[in-house]
Amino acid sequence: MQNDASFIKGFLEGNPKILKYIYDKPYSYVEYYVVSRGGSKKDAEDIFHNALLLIFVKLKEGKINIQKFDNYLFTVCKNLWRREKSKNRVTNIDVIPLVSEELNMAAFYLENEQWELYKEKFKLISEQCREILKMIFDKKTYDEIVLKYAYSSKVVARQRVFKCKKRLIQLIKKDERFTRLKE
Amino acid sequence: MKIDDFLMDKLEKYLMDGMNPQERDLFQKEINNSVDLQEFIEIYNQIDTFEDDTDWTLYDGEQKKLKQAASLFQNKDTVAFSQKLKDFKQDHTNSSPTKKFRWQNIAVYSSVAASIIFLFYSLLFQNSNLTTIYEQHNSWNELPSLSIKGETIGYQKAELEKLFLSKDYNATIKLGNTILASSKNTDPNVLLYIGISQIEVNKNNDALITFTSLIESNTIDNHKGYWYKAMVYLKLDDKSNAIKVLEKIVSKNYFKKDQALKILKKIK
Repeated sequence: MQNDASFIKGFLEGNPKILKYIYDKPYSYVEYYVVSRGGSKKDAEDIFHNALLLIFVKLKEGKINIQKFDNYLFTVCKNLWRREKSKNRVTNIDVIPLVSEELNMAAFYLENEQWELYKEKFKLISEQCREILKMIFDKKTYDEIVLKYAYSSKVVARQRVFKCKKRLIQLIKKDERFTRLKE
Repeated sequence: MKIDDFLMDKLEKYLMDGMNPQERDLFQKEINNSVDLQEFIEIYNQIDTFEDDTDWTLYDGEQKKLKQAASLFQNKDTVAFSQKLKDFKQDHTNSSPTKKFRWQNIAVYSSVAASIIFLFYSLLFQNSNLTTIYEQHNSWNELPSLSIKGETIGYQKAELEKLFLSKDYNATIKLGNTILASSKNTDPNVLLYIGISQIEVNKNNDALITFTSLIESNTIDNHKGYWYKAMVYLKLDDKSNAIKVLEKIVSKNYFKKDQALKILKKIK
């Protein structure tokens, strides 16, 4: 049902039946995700609301083709929560202080575009590169990478990581969306 | 400035800490004068945060771009939609009694359960009966939270963890198998959730197969499969197989080596 054009249309119109589904099912997973990671129920509600707004804006702009609404919504919520946690932890004087909720959402909109670009390009690098980088993301040590891929040394493993990241960066930079985001 | 192979070699050395202080200072000056190099280093450092569940790269670009994007959220349609959501949420909350599972309670229940298991463990450790030893170690508290990466699989994993925590083991097994079938790479944690659920519903032979799959998988955590396999043998009162697996854990320094050694001393 959630993949139908009628579901998306109903969502954009704020159809009560569609909204009931969204607030019953996907919301419960988002609440679980946020609360189990130290957030409150109110945090979960705010994150969920803002994620729905972002999706509304992107759909209106024609910028996304959602395969599965629930999955996409959950990913946006997850990213919003990661952002909240980072905002609370990092004090970066270079980051523009955001005075309104709209500016806050606008910043997330741009950050999320960059994240989606990265995710898309990550799928395009070689399978081995993806696996190696996943080990780095999972905080595995270079010793573990050496062991898994039978590299001769940690230097070789580091070189491999660099090459995989280099390939990913080249793909990201080649995409016109990257230039648009940077302008 | 385009980054040619020569510059790329320098970049690699710079980012891999392979430069001496003098080389580093010189290259830093080059970086300061090159937007391309700065951009490369910025993305290079950002890549790790893209997949980090606890980190996020905040926007620090042009104000103009930010204002353009803000206008999308100030648009009257967006504002009206936001109000519609708020109104619906308000009505929805008022009209339906909350049926949602109180996830906050899980932490409380888990702590209470862990305390009871700890007391049980402390009082009964002298007992060498295999099933009792199994009971002392089957709290599953060490089971990792399923990290959520990617869209489809991430969403399903959250559901899997929720089903497991609510002790709906049959549903956990079913969904776990669906996740495995739709995923190209084997996630060791999903196998753990399935295997432990199989133990809980007394599908012990299935659990042994699942943990063997985990052991045979080409994953970094495959060795954890030995510990859980040992748990199944203890539950089944199969002393000789339990000893074999526990000895392997100790000799190979695998997951839960110290506990395996303690159990071996008790049952041998």
